[in-house]
Amino acid sequence: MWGRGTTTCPILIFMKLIRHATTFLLFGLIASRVAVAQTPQKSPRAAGKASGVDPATAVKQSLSLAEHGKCKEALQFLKKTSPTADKELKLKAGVATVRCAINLDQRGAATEAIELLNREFPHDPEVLYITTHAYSDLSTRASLELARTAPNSYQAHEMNAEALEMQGKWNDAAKEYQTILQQFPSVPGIHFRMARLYLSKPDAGPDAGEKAKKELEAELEIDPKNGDAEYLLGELAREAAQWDEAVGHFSKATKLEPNFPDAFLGLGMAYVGAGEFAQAITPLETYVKRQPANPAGHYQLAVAYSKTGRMEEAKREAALQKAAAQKIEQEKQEIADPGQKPAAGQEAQKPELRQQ
Amino acid sequence: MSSAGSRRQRVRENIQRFPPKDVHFRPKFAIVSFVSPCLVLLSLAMLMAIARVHAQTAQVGPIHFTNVTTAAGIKFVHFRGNDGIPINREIFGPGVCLADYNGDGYQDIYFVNGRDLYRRGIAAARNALYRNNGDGTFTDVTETAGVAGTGYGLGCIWGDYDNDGFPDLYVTQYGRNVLYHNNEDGTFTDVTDKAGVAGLEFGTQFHSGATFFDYDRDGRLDLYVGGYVALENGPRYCNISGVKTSCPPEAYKGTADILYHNNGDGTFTNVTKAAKIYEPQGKNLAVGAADYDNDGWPDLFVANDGLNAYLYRNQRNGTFDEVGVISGMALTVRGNTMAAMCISLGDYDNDGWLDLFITDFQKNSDHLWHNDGKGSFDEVSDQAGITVPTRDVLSFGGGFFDYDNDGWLDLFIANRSFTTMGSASSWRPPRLRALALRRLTWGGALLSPILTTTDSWTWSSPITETRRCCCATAAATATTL
Repeated sequence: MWGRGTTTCPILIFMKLIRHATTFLLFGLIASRVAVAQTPQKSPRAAGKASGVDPATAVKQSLSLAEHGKCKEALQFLKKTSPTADKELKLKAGVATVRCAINLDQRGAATEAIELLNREFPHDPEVLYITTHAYSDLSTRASLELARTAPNSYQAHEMNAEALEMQGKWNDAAKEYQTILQQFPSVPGIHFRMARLYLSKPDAGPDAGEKAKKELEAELEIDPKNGDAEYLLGELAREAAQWDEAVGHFSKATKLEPNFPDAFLGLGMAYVGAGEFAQAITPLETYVKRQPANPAGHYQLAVAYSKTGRMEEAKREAALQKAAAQKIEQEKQEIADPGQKPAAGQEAQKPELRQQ
Repeated sequence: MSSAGSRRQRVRENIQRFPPKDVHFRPKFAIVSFVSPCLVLLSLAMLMAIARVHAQTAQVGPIHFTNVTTAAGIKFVHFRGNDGIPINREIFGPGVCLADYNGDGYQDIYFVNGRDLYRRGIAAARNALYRNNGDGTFTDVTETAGVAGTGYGLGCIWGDYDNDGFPDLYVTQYGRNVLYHNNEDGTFTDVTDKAGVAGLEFGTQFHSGATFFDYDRDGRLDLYVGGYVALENGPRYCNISGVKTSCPPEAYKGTADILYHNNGDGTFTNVTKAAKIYEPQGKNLAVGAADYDNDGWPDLFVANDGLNAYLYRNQRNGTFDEVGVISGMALTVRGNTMAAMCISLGDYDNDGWLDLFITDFQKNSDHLWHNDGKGSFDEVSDQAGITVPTRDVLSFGGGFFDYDNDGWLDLFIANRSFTTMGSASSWRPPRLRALALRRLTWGGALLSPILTTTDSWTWSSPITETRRCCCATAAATATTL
């Protein structure tokens, strides 16, 4: 699901895709231009028929065609060539297929090849790289088509608003959303995005929470089944220590989005905040089963157990909380920016060298 | 009568003259202050002012504080010793702590200072002991007393570890810590090696909070020494949102704290592992000892930076059980870790159980926990009105105290501001931006009165016996007043 109270997820991905797609398109264009100057090679199919070469040789020849920009011929032949047992060759064939399919705007062929590659070579860096570029390119083409064919649709405005959000142009994005609401006041999701914008915008002012709350409530009038809106309202209420209200919103969120674990954590925390520790246990148990790596769930559950006299379970959860927190701490250290190590001559930081 | 004997007699007389209500004078619990350098001068000013306030408690009307630092003769200026952008060590200190070291009935002040660790030849920086002249002025007696420090200083505590009636001084440093024995004649002797309390056993270099407390109730003060991060093995700077600055705690591995048992013969033994409190990855900022569960045995509160806070419950057999999580104080009510630079304990609602206050970073409000008397704490920051006023400031020292002697514990919080990440300079100049002095309210009503206040600010009073507030950076609060 998108969003979950942040703006980063969909828009960030979208913008990255656009950026990658541009690179990819450039790559394709350059490849095509370069190919024009190259000497055309004989079709591998023709070559295969003529000489009876094995699939591996035929694939190599197809790859050569692709490398020289003869994507149309290469793609035709690659589609019909028997699979080769050579894994490396198969990988190269798949990558070439994706590149050529994108170049020729054969979206179906591209997605088929992407699926095949990811199935055959999961976690392969080259596959993941080409997949990113391909999806980015497909995304860009779809967005361009949207802008070209339905520029006044709310979807086009929404897409534009998301892009503006990503660029940090919060006010412009808000105007786009407001434009949508003026023209399409019953479109679901827009009030939610407005609320999210208020909560994400830097220096949004002290009334940002209240504005967001109103937008979320408006969203729920349009779409009472918006679990995300209920969740955010729960978070706002919890931040304001309005525990009963938080419990109500989180409860609805868990019902509307039973596969969204954070709603269960929010519900449990709201109960803990309200001092209703016995009620907190069930949602927190649900949460820790689904998100065992998050120390927050174990912590809240440990508190709830402790407050209800279930000390052994409390100690167990406390131990799990510490273990999970330590793991996260280690991960933080691993990804921390190394910055500048102490420079030469500054070893005097070691205090024993400077004792008076 | 010998000189020492004479001073002991004077101490006894002073106890009779200035009896802290319901407390024994001999300090069994002492505190380390650990505050921003910008607070030190203000601390003195406020200290002087509060002394006046206490002298005028019969007066009715609003209480005003006056900055009397210069008039009092306090000239100490902290030297943080940075070479370019300060690193973590250089934005930490300094501590300041108070005690009547010469038994004349007046509180004296000890300041901790940084050092030049970059071989630039800057040798002037040293710690400072200011003797209270009893007339509102102080005299720098550091050289005579021999307590200049031996390294880059971070915190300090007073405690009479040998029960001779005169408080001794322990200074936490970057590197080897130092224990000064009070010779009862206005001078001190470095007994660190003899006592065995340098704090280097587990490799910890970056020492932070510390506290004297008699955890085994054998009548002798034991010593707990905190450690922050392994600065020497990590990055010097980090790039945060494009700004080169000091690093967050997660950039470093943690370090171990140490519990020293007082052997009664002038030596201590590291009993950290035997006491079951060895935690090699702690990132301690503040510590405090107090009997939160009223079983008569002091427990230990350890606040970390970006990690769980620890609560070591005294098992009455020389060991502790870490119950921070199940007691509900390891994280905030919102489930977050804290940058806990201050711990303060005080019974703000006078229900007979010590409550807990911990300061936190900017954008994270400070935290007040109510002791439920059943071994758990409930965070009541929102209900008590703590959350909103402390959200947009970076809180350092602070804690409970009854500033107007009305019998109700108030809160003092010393803050500064941290600019938005990504700006050209992430840290503003180290000056005090705001002082938050507020009365705790609950539903608009004042909370119930505290048990005691003192006339002499004996912050080294035996908390485990009196149930009066104080712990690590509550001392910072005290000295800030």
